[in-house]
Amino acid sequence: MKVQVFPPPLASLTHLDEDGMMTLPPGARLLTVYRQLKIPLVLQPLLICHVNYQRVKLSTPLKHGDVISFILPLAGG
Amino acid sequence: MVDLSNSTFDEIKIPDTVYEHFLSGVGLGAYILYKYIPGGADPLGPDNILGFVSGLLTGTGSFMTGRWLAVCKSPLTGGFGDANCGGTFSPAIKQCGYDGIFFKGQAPKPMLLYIDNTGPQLMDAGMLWGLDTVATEAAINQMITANKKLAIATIGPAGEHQSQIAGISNDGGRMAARSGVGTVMGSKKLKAVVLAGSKMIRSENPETLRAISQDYARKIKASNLPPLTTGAILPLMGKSMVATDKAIPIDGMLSTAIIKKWGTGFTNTMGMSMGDTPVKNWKGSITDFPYRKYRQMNPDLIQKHERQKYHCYSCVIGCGGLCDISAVSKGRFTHTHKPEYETVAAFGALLLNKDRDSIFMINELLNRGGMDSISAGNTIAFAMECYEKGWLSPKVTGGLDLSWGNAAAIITLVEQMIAGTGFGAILQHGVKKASEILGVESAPLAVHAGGQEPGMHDPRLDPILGIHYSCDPTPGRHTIGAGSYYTYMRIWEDVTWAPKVKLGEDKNSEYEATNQVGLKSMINACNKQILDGSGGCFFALVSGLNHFKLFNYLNAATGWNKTPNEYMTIGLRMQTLRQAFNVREGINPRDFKMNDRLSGKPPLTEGPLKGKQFNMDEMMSIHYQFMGWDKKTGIPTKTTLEDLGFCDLEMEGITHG
Repeated sequence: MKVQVFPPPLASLTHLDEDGMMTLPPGARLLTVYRQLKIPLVLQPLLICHVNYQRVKLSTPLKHGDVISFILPLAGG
Repeated sequence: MVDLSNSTFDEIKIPDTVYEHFLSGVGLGAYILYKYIPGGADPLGPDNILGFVSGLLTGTGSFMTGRWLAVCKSPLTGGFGDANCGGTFSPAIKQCGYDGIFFKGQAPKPMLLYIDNTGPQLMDAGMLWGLDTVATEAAINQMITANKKLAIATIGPAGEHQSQIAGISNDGGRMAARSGVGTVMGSKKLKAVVLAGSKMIRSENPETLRAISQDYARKIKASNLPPLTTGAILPLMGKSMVATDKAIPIDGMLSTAIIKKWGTGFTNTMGMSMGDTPVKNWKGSITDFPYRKYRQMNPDLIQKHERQKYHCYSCVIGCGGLCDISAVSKGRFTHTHKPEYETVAAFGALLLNKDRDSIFMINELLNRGGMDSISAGNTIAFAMECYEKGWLSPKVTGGLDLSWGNAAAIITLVEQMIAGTGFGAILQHGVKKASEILGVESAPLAVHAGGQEPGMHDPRLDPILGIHYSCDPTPGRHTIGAGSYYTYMRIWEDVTWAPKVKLGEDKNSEYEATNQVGLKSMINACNKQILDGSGGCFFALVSGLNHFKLFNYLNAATGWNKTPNEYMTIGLRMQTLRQAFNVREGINPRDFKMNDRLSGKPPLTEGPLKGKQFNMDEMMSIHYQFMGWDKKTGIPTKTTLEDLGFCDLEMEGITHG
């Protein structure tokens, strides 16, 4: 299955295509995405991640077409 | 149209074709200004027209579409001027039965315009002249009894004194600040516009509008930071954002959680760590204003004063707040609007001022005085650099010690600029005029684009921002476009010819004047016109068009069935009309090029933007080319004007390159 990922800074982009799609095995969970992105441990507590615009646990199973977004600030004002 | 010279009113019926070609808001404003201002009019004379325009989507049931604009020929740039503001004034215009309220002529004495369901009337405002914006609103609320809360737009002493960086206030000090719109209002002796209409605002497909709004609101509601999140993470976030040269597409929806928590203040510290915030009149870096100083601007410390959060009309984010400043101001004021990032940066890092309390005070002084904080901060930064160089002595400044970071002197200078007294009289018209007074050698220190001071975002971090500072018909504006804004918008999901930002793309490619950069900047410019024609909020735009369904909203509100590509053509037409206005007024678009410092000439030697530079002339050329304007001159070409249908719009005398 494929999910859309908006990754945080410093994440590994190796498992993402140019559209930000990640291919995952059936039964994959949000934790799998964290692992694929190789997010540095020091950053993990600072990250806020939503699946389909809802906060979920790392153990949440994913399904095809899910949107996984990490918070990044905008500049503006 | 209100003729202030003769106290007469004329209702102009706008043909539907005008809305289809220019939408409303800034587009309607551009149409009226082009058609009714005679070429070469004095910005402060009776021939100039000042307009207050609502957005096409305002009041239709759409969310994030409650912005209004003031439009006029700008005294600051000599070209098209506009300023954008939220609050409650935009729906109030429509509830009076109008899409825009325009003024020509000059009143013989101070007046205010009052409109309710029975129609417009001009009233004597002599007793209000001299009052600040907050006091004016209070006095008007005492003077006028209506069946609903009054919506009031007013100028303060800065506009009355004809400071050329004066804005227009509504809702107790919220400013439509830019372009000198308040100066024009003051030149017309128009103290206030007061609205109390209650007419229905209709739309074609309210059910569709409601469905789009509900979907957007659901996502916004779910976007929240954990309760224990503190502002301490923001500098780290900033550093991480510039730690890679690779483009990372962003889901703007989740970023709204940050705006919900802190408003624009989240950038106060994050902007410093990433290099976005200008320092020491744009020549410094984080080395000059290190963490131990800029941490004073941590938005948590600002929020400690916040007593009430507020939303603009139809907003579901709510970035505004009211702060208690009775102690900070030693009892002079009770509260102020939460200082926006622009104000914090312009009076913080730009002046090396770490005194947070002074910024609360300056914020309220400027809001009440009716003066643009971006322009005022840039102008004082210029004066401080001149002082540092020894070009200004205490004798010239009236004894003010303009050393960097001297908060007490900055406050005094702000008060003088608003009142037009002391050394402030030299600075009150903005940095370009101040530099002209102080002498030609000071020109390189005067940071502006075409006469208008730039917003607090550094093009050396995001060169496409510099294109918009230099190429927009109202130059120096930070909300038109940037490479980062383009990424957040995800417009390529709607507009078939818009280039997609690919994950892992080299961000450094945006420092070259490539076709990709030209196309992105063109799309930014056009899309911002659509937003400003709709009354839309910039933060909705950057939450992503995949969430904020602007084009669907427009079709649902109007009953049109236009594609996003067709809306982009409308945006291009709006922007081209604004450019044509400038050309008719004798402006050479190339003269709007921003100060060289902002393109890295000379490059910074320290900080996150060390060594960053780009060729601004080439950047302007590529933008002009993709806009369909002459690549050398920036004047819209004959082919472009024909393709956009100007020949059929009775826009006589439109000039082409």
